[in-house]
Amino acid sequence: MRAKAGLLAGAALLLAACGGTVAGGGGSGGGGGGGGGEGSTEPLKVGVITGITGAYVQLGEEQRNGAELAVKLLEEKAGDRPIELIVRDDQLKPDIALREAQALIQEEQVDFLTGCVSAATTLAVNQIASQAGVPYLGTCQTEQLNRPPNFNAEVTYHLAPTPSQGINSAAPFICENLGEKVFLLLPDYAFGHEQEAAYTTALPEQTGCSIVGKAYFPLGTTDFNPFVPTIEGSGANALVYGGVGRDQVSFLRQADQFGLTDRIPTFLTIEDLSFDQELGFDLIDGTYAMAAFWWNVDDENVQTYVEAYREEYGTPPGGYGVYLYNALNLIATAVEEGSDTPEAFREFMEGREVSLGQGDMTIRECDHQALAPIYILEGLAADEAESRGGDAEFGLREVVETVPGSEETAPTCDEVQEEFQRVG
Amino acid sequence: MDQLLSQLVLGIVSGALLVLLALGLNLIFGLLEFINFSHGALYMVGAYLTSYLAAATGTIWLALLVVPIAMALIGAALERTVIRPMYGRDQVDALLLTFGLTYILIEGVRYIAGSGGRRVKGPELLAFQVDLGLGRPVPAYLLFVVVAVALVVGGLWLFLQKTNVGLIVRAGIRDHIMIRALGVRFDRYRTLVFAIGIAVAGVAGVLTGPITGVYPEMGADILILAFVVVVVGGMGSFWGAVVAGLLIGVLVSVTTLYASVYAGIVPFILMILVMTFRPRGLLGAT
Amino acid sequence: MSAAERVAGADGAPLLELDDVQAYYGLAHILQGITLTVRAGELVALLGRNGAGKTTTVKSIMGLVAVRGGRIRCAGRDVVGHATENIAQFGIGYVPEDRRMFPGLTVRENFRLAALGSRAPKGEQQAAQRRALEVFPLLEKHLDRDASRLSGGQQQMVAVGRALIGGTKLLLVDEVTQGLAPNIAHDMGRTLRRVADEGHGVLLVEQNAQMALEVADRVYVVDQGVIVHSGDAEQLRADPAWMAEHLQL
Repeated sequence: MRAKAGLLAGAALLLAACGGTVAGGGGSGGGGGGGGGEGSTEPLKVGVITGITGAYVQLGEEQRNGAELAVKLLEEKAGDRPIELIVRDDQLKPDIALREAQALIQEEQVDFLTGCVSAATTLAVNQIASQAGVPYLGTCQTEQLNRPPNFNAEVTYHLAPTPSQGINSAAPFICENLGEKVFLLLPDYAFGHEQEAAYTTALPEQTGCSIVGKAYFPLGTTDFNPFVPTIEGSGANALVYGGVGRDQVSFLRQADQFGLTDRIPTFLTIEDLSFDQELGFDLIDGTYAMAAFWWNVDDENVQTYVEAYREEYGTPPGGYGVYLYNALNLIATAVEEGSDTPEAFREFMEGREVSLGQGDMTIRECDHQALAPIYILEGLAADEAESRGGDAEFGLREVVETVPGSEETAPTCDEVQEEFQRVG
Repeated sequence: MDQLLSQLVLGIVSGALLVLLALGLNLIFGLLEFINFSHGALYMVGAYLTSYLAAATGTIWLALLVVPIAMALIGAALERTVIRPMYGRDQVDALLLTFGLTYILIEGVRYIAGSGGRRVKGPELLAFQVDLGLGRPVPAYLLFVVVAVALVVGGLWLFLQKTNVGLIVRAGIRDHIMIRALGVRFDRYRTLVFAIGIAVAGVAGVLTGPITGVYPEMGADILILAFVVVVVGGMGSFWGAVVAGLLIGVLVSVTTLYASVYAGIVPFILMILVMTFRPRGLLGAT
Repeated sequence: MSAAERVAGADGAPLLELDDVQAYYGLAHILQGITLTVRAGELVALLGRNGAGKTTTVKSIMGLVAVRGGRIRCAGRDVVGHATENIAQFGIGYVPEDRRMFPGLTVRENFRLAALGSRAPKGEQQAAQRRALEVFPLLEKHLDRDASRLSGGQQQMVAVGRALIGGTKLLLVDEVTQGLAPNIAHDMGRTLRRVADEGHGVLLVEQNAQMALEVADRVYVVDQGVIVHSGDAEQLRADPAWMAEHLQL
């Protein structure tokens, strides 16, 4: 029996050690020289660090797709310089992201870094980029990347919306169209807490709107049934759900069995086509969501990206590949124009107005935050898809409102400046 | 009070699925004397088989019959090929083998079915809600899960208590040398028990599909909890696994009501308490 | 057909023959050449000090210790290299040291298990279980109790009873009297004598030499893995000097 107990302890150790680690980032040997000056034909090296294994694997894969697609459409060149893309897996873990960022900078001597699906890893990469003076274009929704102490004006850029940007854009819709008594069901990690802060500010600003209850669930929760009575008991008439990926799929499936989404309109802070597809029309019908990207948005530049993506990968893109597509386009354009040093790149980026995969977008000067439209999406039933969503297979949602990117929805530059001064 | 009762009922549902995995793990551990690390991955395979069968037939009823049989055959084949050579060697060898098997299965499923999950539609017949008088109705499918688990648990118990094979298995768990000395061909019962354990995990896979959907990593989290259930209930204890599974399900559910953030660690706190104050588990033999 | 004829080998050949058996535990050379025989109807005692190699001898017959040299034949068949469950099939009943009851199993289940192990037709299995109860009628009233919770003497009865079930010709009994009160130990000895008289071969491994000498036909003494003495029990009983020398009585 003692041997058995020892064995069990061994198993527990293995379990603890195994938390989803299969693939690791393969490192190729050290490479050529640093950033060449003007007129150089040295390869332009861009390092992408994203979660190719782990809970958000679809999002990570899509980011890689978005980057590779952009490089392909650019004919693998930025001006005279061939673009070399090096993709590494951070497994959603900050320590691995840190290691990969160091390897990319020291061994591969990359000129730019980009990518991320989890706020936890983006700060790690930013830290290394900041030390090395390599520009980093963050692509996940976080409040912290371009705030002190993380923001480094020399290198840090944020292409995804901050949670508060989306939430400020969506708050009027939630209160006016869904319900005025809101329950928040949020994931228990940085992203969920950022959401809570943003919703707690934004919702009560709407007339008559209040938060009647909130609950946190651990990341990776599959059993949401115990939350249902709590939500219904709160007297809420609208539910905000802040989970992503697998959590979201499990939640909506179980909520549907209880008929919860029929009784209480449900709003998703994050949606992605890959999760929508897994949910299917019957679970999505009756839910609402906000997104920084939706594949059938009526915009020429969005559609250029969507069509190229569909041709390359067979399905329309979800919401995460576009940030990488944008990042690679911005980098290539800057380099092509000769802005290939960190200083020149900064000058190129600050205040830039472009129209890329998300439509019209501004990179504002004060905190290098991208301001792009936020779309409010309504989930459709299968029989509505073709008429309203435009596609029987992928037309899972319809854009019911477009909130243009604006200084007002993100914390304003004044507020940002105040924060910077407070910290010093 | 109503709310507490609702949480209790939902906790039993969550615990019920845990019970199925813990029972198989326990049985295999008892007779084969190694911890089947691949238990969660095989549960996942069962769930994927269900998702394909359900997509083809439009319902999980057929899967409920076919998948356990298929999983039993897969289990028997695994035992006869890769696990058998591990007997008589260090127990850690079998642990590592099944550890490796886990990743082969997960990556294999990723390769075949993709990294994303698949949906499993619950049976139309049960797509309604039942008012248990708790103030809030409960989806009929969840109640069906509890009934199905109760039937499997009861069936397994009767099989172990009332049949000759069950007798041999129970004796083999206690002392597999003595049972050999009585002339019993023990090897074939190891195959059988592994097959049964995997079949029961397959049942759990079928039942889980309509609740959470299926995805390649689904076995990993629940496997940890199933281990906790085995430890809390008492290694080798049949009813220990049942009681501990339901207890953990209910505790998590009730904690969710009052302090949802801590719900996830409740099973582990319970495990530490049990290991400290009652190392043999709630119903474990001395 | 008499009981002895039913059980005995075809021509009175020994039921059990060990010829220069060598066995190791890891690197320790435990059995260094054991030679002994047991015939049908004969009760043979294997005596010796703790650690002399008595239990290892029995285990090597059952295939529980790997035999590295010599031969073991049971009813004319070589048993070395066979799996334990197949050796049991040759008609060997094994009563292990410390009894090895299966915790949680009733007396009836222990007997049923032994009958299942015999792989005999169902009718024969039931008859065999009844015969075990004829040998130990006391167990009748304890049939549905957890065998591992019975008294030591009763557990021994279960262990011997289940070893007798299933076409057993040869009984290997390892330290059956260990921990038993003297009168119970002697009762057990007499029962084993009766079992031998019915035609079974019995190899009795004992530390309780006095009891063994009372019931045995012949005696072997093992020391440091070899048989150092063998002889007729009746003669040895009458030789206190021998007993003092070899058994430290």
